[in-house]
Amino acid sequence: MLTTSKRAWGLVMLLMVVALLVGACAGVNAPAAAPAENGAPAAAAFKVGLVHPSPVTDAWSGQAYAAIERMRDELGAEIANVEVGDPAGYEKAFSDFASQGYTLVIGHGFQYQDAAAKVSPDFPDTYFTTVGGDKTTANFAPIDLVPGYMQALYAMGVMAGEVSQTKQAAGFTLENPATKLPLEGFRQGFESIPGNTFSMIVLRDGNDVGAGKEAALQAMAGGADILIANANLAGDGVLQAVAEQGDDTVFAIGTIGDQTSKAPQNILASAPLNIPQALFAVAQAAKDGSFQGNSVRQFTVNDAGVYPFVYNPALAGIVTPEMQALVDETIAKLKAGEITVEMPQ
Amino acid sequence: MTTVTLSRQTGATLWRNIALPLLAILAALLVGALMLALSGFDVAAAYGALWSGIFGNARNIGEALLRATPLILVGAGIAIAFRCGIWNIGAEGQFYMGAAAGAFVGLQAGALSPWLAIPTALLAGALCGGLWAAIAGWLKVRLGLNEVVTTIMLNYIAIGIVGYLVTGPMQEASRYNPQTDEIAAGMVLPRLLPGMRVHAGFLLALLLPVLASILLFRTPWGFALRAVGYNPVAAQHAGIRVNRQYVLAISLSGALAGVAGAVEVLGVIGRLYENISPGYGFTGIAVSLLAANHPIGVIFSGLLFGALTTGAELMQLTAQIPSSMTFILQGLIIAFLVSFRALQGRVWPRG
Amino acid sequence: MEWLIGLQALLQATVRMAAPLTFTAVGETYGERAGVINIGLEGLMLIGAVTAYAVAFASGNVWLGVFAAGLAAATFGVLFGVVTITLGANQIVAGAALNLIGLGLSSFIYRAFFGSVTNRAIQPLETVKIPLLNQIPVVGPVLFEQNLLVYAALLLAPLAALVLNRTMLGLALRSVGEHPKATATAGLSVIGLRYAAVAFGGMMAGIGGAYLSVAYANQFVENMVAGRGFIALAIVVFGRWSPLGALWASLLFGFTFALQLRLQAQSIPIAYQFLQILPYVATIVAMILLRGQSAQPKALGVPYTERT
Repeated sequence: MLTTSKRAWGLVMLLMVVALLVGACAGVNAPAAAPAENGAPAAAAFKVGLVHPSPVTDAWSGQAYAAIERMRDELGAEIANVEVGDPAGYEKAFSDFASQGYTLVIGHGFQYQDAAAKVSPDFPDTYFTTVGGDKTTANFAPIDLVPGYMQALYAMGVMAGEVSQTKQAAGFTLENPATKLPLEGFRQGFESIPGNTFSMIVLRDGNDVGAGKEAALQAMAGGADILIANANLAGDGVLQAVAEQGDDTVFAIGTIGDQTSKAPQNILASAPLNIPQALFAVAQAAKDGSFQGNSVRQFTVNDAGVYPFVYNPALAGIVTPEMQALVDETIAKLKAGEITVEMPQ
Repeated sequence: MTTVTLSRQTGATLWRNIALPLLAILAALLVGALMLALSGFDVAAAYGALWSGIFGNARNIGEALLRATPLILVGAGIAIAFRCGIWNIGAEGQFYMGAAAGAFVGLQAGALSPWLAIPTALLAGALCGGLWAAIAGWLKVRLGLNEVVTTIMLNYIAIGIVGYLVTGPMQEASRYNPQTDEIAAGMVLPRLLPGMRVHAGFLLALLLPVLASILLFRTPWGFALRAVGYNPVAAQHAGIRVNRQYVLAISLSGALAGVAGAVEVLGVIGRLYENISPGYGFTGIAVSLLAANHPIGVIFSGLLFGALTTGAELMQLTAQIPSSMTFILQGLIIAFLVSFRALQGRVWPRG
Repeated sequence: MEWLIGLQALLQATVRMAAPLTFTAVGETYGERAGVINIGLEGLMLIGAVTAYAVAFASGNVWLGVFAAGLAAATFGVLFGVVTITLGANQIVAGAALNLIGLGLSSFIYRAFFGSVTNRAIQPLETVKIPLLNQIPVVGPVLFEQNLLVYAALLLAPLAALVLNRTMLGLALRSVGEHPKATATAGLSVIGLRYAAVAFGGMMAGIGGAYLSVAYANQFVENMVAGRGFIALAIVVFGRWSPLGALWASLLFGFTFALQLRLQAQSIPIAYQFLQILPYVATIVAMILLRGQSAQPKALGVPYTERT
């Protein structure tokens, strides 16, 4: 506005540019030291880095953290993890790990696949994987747990379909194939029993416990007596609503982990996703050098131990041995290909 | 609400624009250190990591510039609206509309020359962001609806529309993930320097605030706009068409947020999906306010916020400091700066 | 009869969802009527949510948690007052800072102190049925089978309206927001009244946040306020700066939010995104239909100094 103030701004700019240049020069010198660190220890240490979207205290990222802890304990891996929820930061997180000589970098979610695909060619000595995704490179191979989880929840859907009195179930999810598609599997299982209907509610925010709870209450008021949530922490709200509703005619199926403790009187069974088991094989391959790039490792119920079921002993009167046998039978048919779970349109 | 004007004396201006921000940063770091120490973290390790996370190597510096780019563009837009006294809280929605438009052109125009296609995509982003903001402007001047409410509501509506686009009409060919296909390779903004991710969009983040500044402070229209912000009633009496200024200011503000969205899609993300913004529209408000709503100042406050975000990632990795520390530091810097400025105004009242 | 049960569930949800918005918006209405706008409500609610959870977890007493949340957020309200009232700094700027600090601090505290705690659930507030009244069809379960904080929210709005419109204190608060100089001339302390208003606003936002973590849920989740602070800010304006207006606006918002969930549960063949945006579209439409004279306090956002 005034010439003096313009001059002042000019000076500010000059100072900032100088500061940036000084910083840049200091920075440009730094990588000169890095290659030595890069080349030498690659053979020495087995290092695993994890990039995850949410705090490791929640169910989804907690599973990945448990996975790298197992790699530390059983494979002697040096582990580190970083939470990156901001898409502009994905690539940097991957290249930071890779440039520090990490052997394996795991991105915990399909959303990381673009970044892994872009970064991996620059770091041929590092292996990359993401949990979900379909892109690959020579040293990047994602794992896809969705097909098997759709099958596992199909079996849960068959069981829930037998239990339901109102013949209505509701699922709660977020817009993400890793959360949504497994519930489509549940739908097909539940609706395989004639007359059953399943409705799906998509929540906007995986942190909004309150919205999850309200959604569950609306579904129950609409007649659903089986609820299943795969919606991160908003799913806790669903289970809380089921736990608080007072009468024992509404039940829930747990996902991702064993969720029995969140509604001890109402969770029929949980279908945990054993991510540590699935990622362990990847880590072993990375350690002994047999890692296969250019491929997507798809998991199905044929992969032992990845899709276990945990039945709630408090509800043994409903989830009877016959009921559990029905689940086992369904899984056997899925394994044999007698039943197939369809991808929804 | 007051707009902060630059002081008349060079000395006071220098003090205000350099010394006070530095003091505010220092004070914020001190309070942050206290918090970290009280929670049992190693302060030296934390701040060491913060520093090397920003200046440790060329890649990190490039990263800070990259992260600053959307904040500067959004912030410069907010500055224009706030200077006119129209409270645009809707930059987040405008960013999303711009990103959607940029992605649409990016997906369709791959066959064209990049020299034509990229500017088209950016203009489309500006247009969509501007039009989306204009809705709030129109509702204000024609129906008297308060823009604070309408812009907040329009944020949610814009995000809902983008959610629909990426699961419906614009979803990727395989129809698996809730996202569009990747934009054509020729549409990706070129990188500026080898070894850094910072892209040509950063040049826009330097250029557009300067243009905005010239517009605000060197043209009759800018004068009218600021006059409305200073006192709409007086401006009306002086023959300025106040309502027109409001709509133009918020549209221009939305256009800059829209460009930011398009730049983010073309320069960094490479496609559209629902969560591409980690709240740039809201952080942009803080960035603009930190710079006293001066578009040139926004360049610096944007760089500061971008640098803090980058540095915090290494701080998290090497010293296990929760990433939320970034928000605390950013908030403290603003709080201290605004307090110091107000204090200075009390000690040396402007003559 | 089935539709009646459905309607009842919808209205119950409406009241539950409106409660945290009502607390926060009524508190902010007081602040704004006294001339101080605080856009940092989202941050204050997060501080309230984490404080309530932490104290309830440590003490085993939910009400102690709610009390502490009100106190903690009121403290931040006073700090906001120091910056904006005493120092006279720009209120929008300080509010933006408060949002960032609240967001950062609530996650930081939670991670630093609860990051390694495995069983993090607490006992949430229980539903208290009011005898006889809860027997009234539909209205009974909607209004008289809720937790105590919901009753408090429903009573707060008329009470706040009464104080604002019918008492000397209310008159003083309103005049501070309209003509601070005249108020000072009348011998009242502008500074003191404004501090009281922002402290009250902070406390209400804190209780609104506490509602989310200890009455609604039984845990704290980072960013669990999920934009409600901004919605409350909009509700103050939409409710035309009146406590009862804030209550109605909160209820409208709660109703449309519950309705979109219900419509999704009924498998309505509309893209769910269009259902999700229903509350936000409805707010704009309602504002268009109910538009009229703005009641914005004249001195809103203007710092007060004796000199000017």
